[in-house]
Amino acid sequence: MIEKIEQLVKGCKSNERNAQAAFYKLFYGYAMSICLRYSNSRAEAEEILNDGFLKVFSKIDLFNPDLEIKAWMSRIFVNTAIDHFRKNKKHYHQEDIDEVREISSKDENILDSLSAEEIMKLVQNLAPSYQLVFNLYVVEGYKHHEIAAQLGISEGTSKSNLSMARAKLKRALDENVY
Amino acid sequence: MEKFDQKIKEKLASYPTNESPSASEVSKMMSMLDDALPHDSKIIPINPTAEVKFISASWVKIAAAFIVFVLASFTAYQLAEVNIESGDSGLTRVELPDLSVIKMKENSKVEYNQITWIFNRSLTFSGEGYFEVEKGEQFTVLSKLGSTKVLGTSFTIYSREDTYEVACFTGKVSVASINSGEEILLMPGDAVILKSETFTPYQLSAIEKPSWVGGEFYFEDEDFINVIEALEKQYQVEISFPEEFETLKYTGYFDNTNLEKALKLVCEPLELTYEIKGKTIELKP
Repeated sequence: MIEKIEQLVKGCKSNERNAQAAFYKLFYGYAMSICLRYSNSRAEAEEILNDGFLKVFSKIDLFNPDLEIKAWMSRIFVNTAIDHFRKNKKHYHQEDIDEVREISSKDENILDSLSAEEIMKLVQNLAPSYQLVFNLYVVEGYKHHEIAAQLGISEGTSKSNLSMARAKLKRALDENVY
Repeated sequence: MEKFDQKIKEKLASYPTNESPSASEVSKMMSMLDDALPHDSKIIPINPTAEVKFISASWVKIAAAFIVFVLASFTAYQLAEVNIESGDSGLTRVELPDLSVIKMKENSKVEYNQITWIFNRSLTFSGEGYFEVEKGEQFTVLSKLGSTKVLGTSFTIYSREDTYEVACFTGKVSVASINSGEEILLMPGDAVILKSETFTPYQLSAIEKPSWVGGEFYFEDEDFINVIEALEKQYQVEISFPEEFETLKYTGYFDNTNLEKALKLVCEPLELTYEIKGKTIELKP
């Protein structure tokens, strides 16, 4: 497998369509699993996915073969999602947090009983600005100050967006909207 | 909270990744690639000893193209469209059907039609380029802001974003503003900058073609990092070096014909050694 990937990367570096097609097919599912959580619909995820793959192919010369290809690609897709968010001028929600309830162990039990697909749906239903901060903080492991710098917002906004994301997820869990 | 986050993260990480694209998605991606990374945009560096002919422009081929054109009608006309883009680095040499030559810098683009060329030497151009025009009928270069007309001469055009700049080295060059129609005549040594509708003429300090035309890069007391960047750009490589080298200054030159030679020219005066591993190069004391 590793050898196959090396071969494909080599082919992609010389701009060979066969290699690019095989690479696209091989990593489509992986890329889709990232793009879905940064979008509200499948069509939007596909848009991010296509832009991301174009970046992967045009920057593949910069890929250091000693590194993990998936980790490298993941960064590109996350950055593409951020660009996509900016381009669409989705505004950052700054609602007051008056409805945040403590997350109970009940919610955690519900989470356990849900499938990955169902959780994905919950995340997809978040408003774009909550979704973006939630993904960057929880899944990608960014710190609030890093998110603030990357998105050009304040740390406070980043924190409140995260709380709002959690609150919305919790409400969806309580109301069985999944 | 953290347990809640953690559980969601784990669930998302277990989201299936075995999905495959449909045939139509694959073909869509391939056509996007044809636009974004076309095969004919490969950069051909200029090599003075063995100049690469970018377009096969012999008269035989022109004649062949002409016959094809006569046989097929409109589709064939489109086939005769030539569209050449230089990539992100290096010089691209474009030989036109009349043997006039354009040397284009990075991110430049030229378009013309091989058939209409026979009757009318006219092309559209954006970016930066050095033109050596063979004597003959009027030769026209159209850009976004201005158009340049010549008979036989050499000149450079810079046409990027909101600036259009033409410098004349030999012969006579006429530059016109697309917006106002105003025209200005350049003699050897004359140059002009056109921003929207305003011409600002100036004199060249020396009537000699720019050094990049030869693909040579000269440095005088230049920061090491800038020299390395130029090398990386010309040869599409990645060069790593210890931090302390950043303070070095380099005086010298290299050209874009031979990577080893260029590395030697940069490394030897600074008493550095280099190691080439494919597309990555490591510099050491």
